[in-house]
Amino acid sequence: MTDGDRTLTRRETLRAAVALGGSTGLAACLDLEGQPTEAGGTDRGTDRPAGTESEAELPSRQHAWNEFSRTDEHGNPVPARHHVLLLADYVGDGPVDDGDRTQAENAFRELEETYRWESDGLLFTVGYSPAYFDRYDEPLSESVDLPQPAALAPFEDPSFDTPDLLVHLASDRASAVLEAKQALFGELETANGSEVTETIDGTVELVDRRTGFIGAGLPAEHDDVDGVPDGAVPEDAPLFMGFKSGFRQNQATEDSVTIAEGPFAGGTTQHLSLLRTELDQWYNQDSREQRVAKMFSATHAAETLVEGVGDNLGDSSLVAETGVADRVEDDAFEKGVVGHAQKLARARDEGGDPRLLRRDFATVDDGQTGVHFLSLQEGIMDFIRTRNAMNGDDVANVGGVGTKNNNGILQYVTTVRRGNYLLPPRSKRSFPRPS
Amino acid sequence: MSPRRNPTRRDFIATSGVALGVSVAGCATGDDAADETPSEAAPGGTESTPEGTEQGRGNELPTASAQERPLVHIPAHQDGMRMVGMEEVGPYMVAMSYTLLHDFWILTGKEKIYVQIEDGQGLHLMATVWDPEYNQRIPLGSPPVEVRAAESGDSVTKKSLWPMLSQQMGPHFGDNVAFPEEGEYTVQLSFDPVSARQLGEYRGRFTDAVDAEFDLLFRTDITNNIRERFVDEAGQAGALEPMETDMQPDGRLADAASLPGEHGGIVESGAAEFVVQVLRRAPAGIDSSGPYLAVSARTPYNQYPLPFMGLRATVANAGEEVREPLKAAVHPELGYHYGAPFPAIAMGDEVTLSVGAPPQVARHRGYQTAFLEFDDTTLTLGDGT
Repeated sequence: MTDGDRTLTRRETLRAAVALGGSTGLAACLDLEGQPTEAGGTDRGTDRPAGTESEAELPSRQHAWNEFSRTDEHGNPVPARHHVLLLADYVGDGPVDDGDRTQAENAFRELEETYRWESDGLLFTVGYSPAYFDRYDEPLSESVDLPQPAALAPFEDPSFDTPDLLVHLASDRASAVLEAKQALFGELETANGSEVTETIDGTVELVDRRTGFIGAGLPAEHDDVDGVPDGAVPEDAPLFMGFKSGFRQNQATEDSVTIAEGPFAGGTTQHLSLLRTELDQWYNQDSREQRVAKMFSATHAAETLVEGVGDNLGDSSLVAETGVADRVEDDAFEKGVVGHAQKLARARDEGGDPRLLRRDFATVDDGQTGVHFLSLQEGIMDFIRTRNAMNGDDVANVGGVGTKNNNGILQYVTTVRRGNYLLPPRSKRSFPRPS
Repeated sequence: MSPRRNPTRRDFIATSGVALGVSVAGCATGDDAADETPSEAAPGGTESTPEGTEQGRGNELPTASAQERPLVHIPAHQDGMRMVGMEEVGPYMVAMSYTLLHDFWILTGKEKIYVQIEDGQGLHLMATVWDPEYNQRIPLGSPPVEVRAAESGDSVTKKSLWPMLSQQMGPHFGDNVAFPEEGEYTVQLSFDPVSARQLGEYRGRFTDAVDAEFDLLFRTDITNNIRERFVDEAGQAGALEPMETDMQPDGRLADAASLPGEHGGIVESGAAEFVVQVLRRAPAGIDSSGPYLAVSARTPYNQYPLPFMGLRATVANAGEEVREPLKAAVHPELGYHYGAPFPAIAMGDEVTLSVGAPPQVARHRGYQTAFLEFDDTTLTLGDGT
């Protein structure tokens, strides 16, 4: 596969194939995955595991991914490397009929039978927006906190995603996320060696398809797009801004983001935003110390707590251990800068734990760098509280900090889209009723 | 595909970066402009450091002469600028202009980084923003800017402009922007609500986000004609005069004598001047009807405001001490200043000013060593100065 006059590496090709989608992308992926990997490459061969036949082996929560993912040496779950987001509308007006409900469930069930429920196979969730629930006369159960998406800062002006449903496909294998989409929409006769008989085709209409990736090496391979200087992203960075995230101690647990009561007990809520990153100044003008101060805290920079992309941090960004969460205002005044992680550490719940389980990933959709910021939380208010902490309004006129300047990474990130979804428990994932 | 990894564009740049990065010391570069510009322009050879190398890049390497120079000094040359346009948007007047590519220093805390001129053709874009009613420049943080090719709509750059201070332009928002080719471009600026307190007649005035758009013609024959003058007094204490235009205020704050309230005195620290005023009643927008301490922190000579600084006042009277952070604020007569209500403050009190974070503005030449280190300073209100 070539791009202009240069030859793409294996990893670039796999990412590009996911972005391209369709039969061409899938063919390119399968072809490449069938070849021996380059030294140090982490994409797997074609010996893809078979699906999960027994329903008993499947978790009751759609978002139960951690125990089915690899973990790194520090015990952090390693997110699947390739991601596809499918935004779709139900074809009918008014309540969904039972035939369509059964058809969708059969299709989702068949995906599980086709791919093993693990990051080496396929992990997926199906979420529903407030717009979806509007079709019913009954309101959505009050036990679910799922407002319409809204702008969450005076300095943002996002568009709102209002598809009926959002399917999130994730796998370490580029071929799996591509093929699963095509299987789901009845574009293939076989997938992962088994016959495709069930599809959601005819019940929904695809309105948007978004793609992305996360993992050491992937961003550096894809820096030939707008928003990032060529060659600037560290070779081993998992995301475009050059630092690791998703440390176990700074993530909510799957248990804590799970809705405890009501008809959707066992489910969770999902927020998806598209953040565009503009990293010219980040890499060409800011120094490493300035980047560490803005991403973590001035203390992290002064005490050189972060080496490279932050692997040395282990399973924690050290915002709690260093006490910087309690020094946001002091740092704004005395140091003139507050860190992104430092601000977020203030958004903990009553038990002192983070409110969000981040499952975000990088993207170069539309030829521009960005992040599909996908997070899970018990209610959308948990997301709003966390975002408010990130906005840093309270320090926007303290000392050297402004609305965006020296206020974490706000200067480099623009929110372009926002959408909210309910992920019902697995048993209700197919066109749920509101209560 | 070969199992051996073919070199990517990234590899090419990584290995050739040193050779490509050589740039011209001084303020002017670009394909044609460089020919007319002596390459060693800075006084005493400052900044004639290996800026093109990875080692030199991002670091200001101080030289002996830099250490001997006054903190605020006259830079080696004075540049002209071109006005792109002026537009009234919401409560603001916005002027968009440009000059030759400039080097400058950005600041995070006390970490100061030298930003060199990149190779290639481009402009130093500058936006100045003021309130047309009282002619005060308004601090807006780091406004996002997007430059697009007019015909294709293709984005050329998207970034946030740095809040900056230069001797000729005063407080403005700017950065260098590379242009791929000559032609027509559109420049869109977005302004977030002002985070500084809005006081008096300014209360609630700067609370909406607004956009401004300008058409910009990029032609090297125009940029080559931007006049430059080499300054004989380079390196001496002083500052270039503010750029005179009929169309916009020059950015100077009012003289101490013209500020509202009782004049408490002027102290100096870190090469900055701090004009201290006491207003008998706090202006609208402050949750107090008692007196208000206003400190106008400014550059020497040109009297430009120094924004985004941590400033604290300790007011002592007969053994009683009150210590408060002063918040940045804008006011029609005081302009940009720092202030807080002090219910019992009166002439004769001792006021000690201490600085936390130095002013977090990027600095152009002549200001790069100033306003970084401050000592606590004390004055007795109304006593002399």
